[in-house]
Amino acid sequence: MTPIPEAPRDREDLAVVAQSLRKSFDTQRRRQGQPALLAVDDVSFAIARGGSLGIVGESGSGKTTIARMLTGLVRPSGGTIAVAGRDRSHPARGSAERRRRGHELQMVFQDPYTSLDPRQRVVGCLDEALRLHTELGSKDRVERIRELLEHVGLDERHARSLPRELSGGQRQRVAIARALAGAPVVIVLDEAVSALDVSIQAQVLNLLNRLRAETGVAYVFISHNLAVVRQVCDDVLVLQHGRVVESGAVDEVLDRPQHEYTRRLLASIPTVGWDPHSVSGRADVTSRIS
Amino acid sequence: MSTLEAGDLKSARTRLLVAPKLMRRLHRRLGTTGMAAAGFVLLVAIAAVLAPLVAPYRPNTEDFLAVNATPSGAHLLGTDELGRDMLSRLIWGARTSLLGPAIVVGVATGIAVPLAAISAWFGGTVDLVISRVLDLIFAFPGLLLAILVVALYGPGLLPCAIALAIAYMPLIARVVRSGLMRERNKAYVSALDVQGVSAFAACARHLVPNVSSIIWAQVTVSFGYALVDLAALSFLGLNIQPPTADWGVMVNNETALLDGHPLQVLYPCLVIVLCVTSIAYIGNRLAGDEQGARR
Repeated sequence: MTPIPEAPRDREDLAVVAQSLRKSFDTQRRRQGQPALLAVDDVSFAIARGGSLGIVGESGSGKTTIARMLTGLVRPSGGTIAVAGRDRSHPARGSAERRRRGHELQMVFQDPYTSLDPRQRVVGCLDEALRLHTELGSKDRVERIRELLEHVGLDERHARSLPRELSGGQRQRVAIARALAGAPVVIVLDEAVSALDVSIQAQVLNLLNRLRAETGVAYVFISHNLAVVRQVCDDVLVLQHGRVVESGAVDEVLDRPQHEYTRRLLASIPTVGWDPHSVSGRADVTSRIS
Repeated sequence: MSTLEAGDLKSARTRLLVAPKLMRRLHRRLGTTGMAAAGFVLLVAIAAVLAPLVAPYRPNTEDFLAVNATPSGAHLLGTDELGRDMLSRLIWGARTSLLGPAIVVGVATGIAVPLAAISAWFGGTVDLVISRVLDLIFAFPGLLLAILVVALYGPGLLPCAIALAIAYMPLIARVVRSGLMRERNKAYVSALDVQGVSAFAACARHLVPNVSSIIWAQVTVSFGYALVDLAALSFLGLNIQPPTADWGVMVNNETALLDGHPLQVLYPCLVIVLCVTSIAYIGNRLAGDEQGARR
């Protein structure tokens, strides 16, 4: 796993450096006299350019909060984030700064049915991203849109489609093409294949692997599905209750898990002859009833 | 003899209707009654625009040989106490009667939509302040505000229309804001945010177009209300002044009623009721569609 450097702002060769990230959602709870809820607690990681880090954990473990902090949709309560050697712990000042951040880091969302503007055709969606992040003229943009569509395995017939005319897998491909449009350093994929059925999932995962090899983009891949993470990631971070319980190279962690929680996560992948009671911890109760 | 092909049928149908595709879409949105309502409103609007061409007389041409005439070939709807042709006055009156609500709705929507967008986009304190100010304006009755403005600036179409626009603005802003709030929480808006699209571009190009059906429904319903309110203000003598032809002014004709010519008042009443009912029906269809789509 990529070590976290001492002075992250100097390390432009690293795509992402996150140090002691914290996020507490406390306003409401504190008003009720309860302790603050720490969604993310002291999480640090670094991703090399062209690298791929998986973040796994059950629902509520803070995965999505990390993604939203990286994109700037949520402001960290503590810690620092740097993308391509530039700090983004604080909200962007001015539109140029916002645009530059969007140029460096892009995101693919979980639900392909809501992450595209329902009124915007595919070509308009990609053109908007290109106009925002590149200086290309209209002729070059058309060429680039054709290239992007080809990259993600869509053909020109889909360019004139509205999102509702496309399937879930095709929409997610459009979202990936949009993320790639400005040639970002990192793409954050938040459960990006979870809403797709298994065969489409495999296609999109292959696509992601190919794109990383071709373009040298880095991924932050957030998922609850360990099998999927194994396919796309070099390194993995296991989160429980907002804390990192285990991290390292993906094969290392998934083949020889050190932490009890990682073992439970691994045991919860359904396979042939899989018994849900073995994971739920209530096996003894059910057996006693029967 | 050549054989008939499917394409021939289609081209024949195309020739019959100017834009069959548009008509079909409209029919799906509005239904048969709605199409009839839209047709009626369109007819009135065209008559208003082309008043000099379609009206048989000028609105204030007096004919003392035919005072209070009953409907005849020369005067299809009869004449009033000064011998002015009723049909011509109705057609000319449509101009001010429709222009007024258009100003009201245009100004109100023009202020309401940006306010709603600012409120929904920034949320938090900004939203709170804007919403409370809207509530404050909303609490003030529209007609009373109009009377106040007329007291300050004198009677006329523009003061009345502006006053009503201010009174209508909060209602439109509220409904549009709640639609935009729902839209704001969708992932595509977060995606725009992450891309670095500016707040203005996101609202103007994505959020507002996505609530356009809500806005159109509000525009239509408000237009109907404004028509009635402006007619009421004319009736009260605060809006358009006689002898200018205006439906509200024409309703305010007690001499006709006293002299036993109720038709002269009934015609403008009927036109107002028909127009407002048609517009309200279209507005409800548009608003209902929106609710249907949300379900």
